[in-house]
Amino acid sequence: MNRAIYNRLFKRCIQVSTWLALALLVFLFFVIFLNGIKGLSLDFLFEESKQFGASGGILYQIIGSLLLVFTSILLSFPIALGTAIYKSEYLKDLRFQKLTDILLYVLNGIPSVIFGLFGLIFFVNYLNTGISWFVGSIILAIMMLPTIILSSYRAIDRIPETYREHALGLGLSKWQTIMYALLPQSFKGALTGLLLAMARAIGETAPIMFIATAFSGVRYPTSLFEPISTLPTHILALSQQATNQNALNNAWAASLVLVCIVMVFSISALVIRHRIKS
Amino acid sequence: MTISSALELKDLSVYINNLQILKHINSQIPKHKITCIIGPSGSGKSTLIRTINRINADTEGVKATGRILFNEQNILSNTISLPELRTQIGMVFQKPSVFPTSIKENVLFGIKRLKKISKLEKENITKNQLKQVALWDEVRTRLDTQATSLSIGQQQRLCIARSLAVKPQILLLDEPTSALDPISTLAIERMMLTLKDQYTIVFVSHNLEQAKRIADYIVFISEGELIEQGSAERVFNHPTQLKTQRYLASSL
Repeated sequence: MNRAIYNRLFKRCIQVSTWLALALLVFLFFVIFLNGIKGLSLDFLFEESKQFGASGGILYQIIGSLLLVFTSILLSFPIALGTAIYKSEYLKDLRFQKLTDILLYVLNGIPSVIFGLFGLIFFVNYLNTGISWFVGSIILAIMMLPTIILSSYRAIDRIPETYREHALGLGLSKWQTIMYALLPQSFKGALTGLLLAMARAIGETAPIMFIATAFSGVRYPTSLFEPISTLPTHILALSQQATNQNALNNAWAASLVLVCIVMVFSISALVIRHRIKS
Repeated sequence: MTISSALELKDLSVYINNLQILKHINSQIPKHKITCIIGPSGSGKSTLIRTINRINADTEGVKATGRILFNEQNILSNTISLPELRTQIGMVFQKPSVFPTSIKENVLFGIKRLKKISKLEKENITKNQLKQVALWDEVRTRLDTQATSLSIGQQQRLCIARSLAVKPQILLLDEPTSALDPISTLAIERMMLTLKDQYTIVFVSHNLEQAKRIADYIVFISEGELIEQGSAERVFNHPTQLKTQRYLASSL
């Protein structure tokens, strides 16, 4: 008797929490969608911003955000993949395994504003780079590392031991076994982590606002050490002009664009993960 | 070393995490014959065969002492190149595991990383190796399809073809048919009989009937010790050791 009641109660509780979480997400998306769609147009996507964002579009913010994120991927992916391979195939000592795990989780847990501060102190001031989009990419790359390392590591580590033996048994060297037998098998898993890291990084504001971005008057960077403009920092700046309705409308529209870009990355990750399973 | 032996095991002991799994094994594996290692579960059969191409070399806690002579070289020596050794002593495992690529690419998986081969050679190697494992007629029309689409028995034959493509002198098989259906098992047994003219074959089996059907030479081990070895006919019909007699009787 009692057990049946508890069972039903428990099921109801987790049902309610699931619906609540989903409802919140849907609600949030609709608020952004309804407020953002008014200001959204092709012109908005392909025009330069004017009057400190109160009119014009967000072309250079979109370009800036994508440039920042793709550069950080280029910096971070090779290092992450190398770390994942080393951790899975070479690091045999369990204490070191534990240590790397702890370090990665700690790195993942550091608040993003601290990364921004670090970038400001170390690169901008100490190395005297000035406000630079490339420094922003380096900082984002460091922030992405744990996610990509752990997802690549899991993808490689999941491959059964017999698989390695089959490749080694054919006379392949360890390096060839990793290159031709393990990496092709784990590529999709690594890519999933990569896209999730991108989805997170493109929305980051705090780490780049002191070191990589300028609010207005910026177009393409022509060297590594120039500021760019990005979507999240643009939204932040616009939303601070609370008295200007045009600026707020543009902030909503820019938010909608940002959310859509994040969704493209996340959904691609989901699709790839689904393909791995089937 | 007599001319007719392909491998010579001298005082071979293997330890895993300081536990002695194999104890002072001495044996001569005859050339171009089928040698079958038999014995109860946990006796060290797999450890023995896996030591012969040193697939355990990278595993933490595994240590081998003594000598295994192959072409007058001690393969347990630290200076030996393991990839090169494994191209000369190939290994087929209990569970087949094909790479997620086409049937043809699977056959060529090892050989194309060892040397440059032309397109024509690739065609020939694929055809010849698949014929050798009696798989050619079943897959000739779909060489470019995924190898994972094959049945488990076909996959095991493909794994053998893949090992043979590398042209080893010795082929080791660790219970190659234990995961397979009877028809695939028979196909692999027949294949082993045809291969022995060109290769020295060493395999581990749980199945005494199988050993009787195809083995020329028997090595019986129990609890890590080599109890008895000799021609299959002699060991099966006139075992001299009590342990061998008991094992053979209990398995009937």
